[in-house]
Amino acid sequence: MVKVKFFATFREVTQEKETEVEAYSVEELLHKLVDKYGKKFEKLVFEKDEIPTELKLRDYVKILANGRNIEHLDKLKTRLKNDDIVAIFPPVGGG
Amino acid sequence: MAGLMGKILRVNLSSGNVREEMISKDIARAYIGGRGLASKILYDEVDPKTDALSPKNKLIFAVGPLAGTSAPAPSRYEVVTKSPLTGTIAGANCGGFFGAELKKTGFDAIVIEGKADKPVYLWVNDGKAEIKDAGYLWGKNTHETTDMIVKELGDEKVSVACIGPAGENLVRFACVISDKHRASGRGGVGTVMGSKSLKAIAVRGTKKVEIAKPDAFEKAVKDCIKKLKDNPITGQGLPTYGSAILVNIINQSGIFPTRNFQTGVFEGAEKISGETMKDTILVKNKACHGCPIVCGRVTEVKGKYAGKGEGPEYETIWAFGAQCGVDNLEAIAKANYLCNELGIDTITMGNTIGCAMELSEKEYLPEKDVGMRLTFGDADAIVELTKKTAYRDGFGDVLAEGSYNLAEKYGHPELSMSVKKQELPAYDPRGVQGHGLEYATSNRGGCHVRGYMIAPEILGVPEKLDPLVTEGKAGWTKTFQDLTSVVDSCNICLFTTFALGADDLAALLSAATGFDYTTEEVMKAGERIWNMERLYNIRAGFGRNDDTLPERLLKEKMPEGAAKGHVWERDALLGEYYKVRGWDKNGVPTKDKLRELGL
Ligand code: SF4
Repeated sequence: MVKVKFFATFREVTQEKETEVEAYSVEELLHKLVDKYGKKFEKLVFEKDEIPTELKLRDYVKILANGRNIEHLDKLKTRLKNDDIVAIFPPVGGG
Repeated sequence: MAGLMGKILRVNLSSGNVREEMISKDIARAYIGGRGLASKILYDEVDPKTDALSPKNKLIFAVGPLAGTSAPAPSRYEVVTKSPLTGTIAGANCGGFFGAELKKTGFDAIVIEGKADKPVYLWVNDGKAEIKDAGYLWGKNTHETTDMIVKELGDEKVSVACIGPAGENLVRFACVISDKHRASGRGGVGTVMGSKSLKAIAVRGTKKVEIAKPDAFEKAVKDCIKKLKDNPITGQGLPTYGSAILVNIINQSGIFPTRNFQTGVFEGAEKISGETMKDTILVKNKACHGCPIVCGRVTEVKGKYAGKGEGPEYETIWAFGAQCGVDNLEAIAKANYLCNELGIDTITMGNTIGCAMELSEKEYLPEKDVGMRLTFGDADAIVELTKKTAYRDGFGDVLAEGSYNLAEKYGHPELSMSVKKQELPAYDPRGVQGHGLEYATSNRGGCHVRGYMIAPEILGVPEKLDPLVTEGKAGWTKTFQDLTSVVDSCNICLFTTFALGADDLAALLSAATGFDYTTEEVMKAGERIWNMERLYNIRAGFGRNDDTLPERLLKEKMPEGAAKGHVWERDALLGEYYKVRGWDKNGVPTKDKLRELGL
């Protein structure tokens, strides 16, 4: 199982801070989370492209797999294994 | 003059002399205002070898051409002086309302010289200035001081920037507090103010800022506000959660410095996060002058750590939190309120206490010197030691000299997490290589806001850069540093740059001043300011050897998290940085570079 942690506005949609999902890639994991939490969650994560089959992450939504932004790994195709931790953040800033 | 008011107020506290000076158009165009203008004055007038606490040092308050206008978040002000903490040039930048009010008095800058022979404060009212007795204010905290001055002057609209007991007692990292809760935090600018026996500056004005091209300005302002509203970070993230929202993402990224940078993951992060703050101590949001982002936080704590005020912001939460191993948000908030009331820089205070905790746990610092057994995680200690520091009471007298002097006194200077003796802020550079370069090369010592590489390396703005990679980071760091020099010289809030770029600033500046800046000219001005500050530091005796990080970050591998196994790669970054800056291998700007910049 992969442990998923939610932050900021994501928590307001999921109503929980974390969950566990069986998934072998980030893409699969996100689909399972959309199934679980519904439309609101989907809207927070994905930009709807012109071609609806191709999923694109919303601007500045950050997904970390074991602390690494998936942008610097294999993006949505990033592989996951048992006990990995995925953290999901909406657009945040500060300094 | 348009944009700027075109005037400097010069106040000599030794002689009591007060006079006005005009700003030339050439200087205004080349240095913009705010930090650029103030740094230029220091560069021209204060010998870099001057003892920072002697009457020969000067203290300069300055605003930029956008202050007091309808541009978004335009009215921060900058305090520039030679730093008593680092020995470099110091510049501290502050929000709130003081900057806008200062501009409306008709001055772009106030230059304080000399030293008063008894406590005084400066009252600047619509173009007139008066040095007034502050004997009755000495010893008062910043809130009392502000209230008493407003009462004496009989005008609720007066804005006050003042020092607290820490500045009076020459704590080396005292800050200037304006509007009670906003700090010009870093580098000991409040210490210099205390050394001059200047308790406060009170300002009130009704003068209007002239805009060179009103139609173009209105359009530029509209465009910028739209960009700020449409951008998810400035439009939603910052207003909803404030800067504290960074706690979790920085911790999850494994770069949240914990227990004096021994690791980058803090097990108590959730308890001190922006999310927790929103659910517990948050009362409401608050904006600085003319800001559509509204990231400020008003909070209140009841019970043991009772208090009320603004903040804590992200950096403060980290400094008193993870850095000290403390996961008690109420105690952190209390330490933050105390810092604002007593006039202390929160980053250096928390970082220095964390350093003392490590020295104590390793038994380098004897219990009898502290007066208590000091260990990581002690929430009461951060509150008590902050109070003691402001009054130089007992062990507070040692802490008041900063972490470097503390660690050196006990034989382990390498345990001071500082650069050029200024304490590092809330990101472990082993996991953000470009940001480490900003730490090593910032002109005011350990500092995160003069080239905030966290934006591209962690937050993905304006591009997503891999934080563990060194390649290409030198160029990025230079661009961010130059751009920030512009931002601090317009004195627009740095947070606007999550959505705005140099072209937006050029449009605002051109319309306000009439100088027709191109984006290139604006960036060149930023580079000029950066190089001038660098020259000042070189003449003060700084060079390549000082452009480095504490040994721990160069040698000890990060023990866990996403940056596990990494150190900060100085060799891969610094030489390249000097090259892209057009400096020689010792980090000195070449003649060609100086000629190009007109220095
Ligand atoms: S973004 Fe925050 S700090 Fe900046 S001006 Fe606005 S309220 Fe002040």
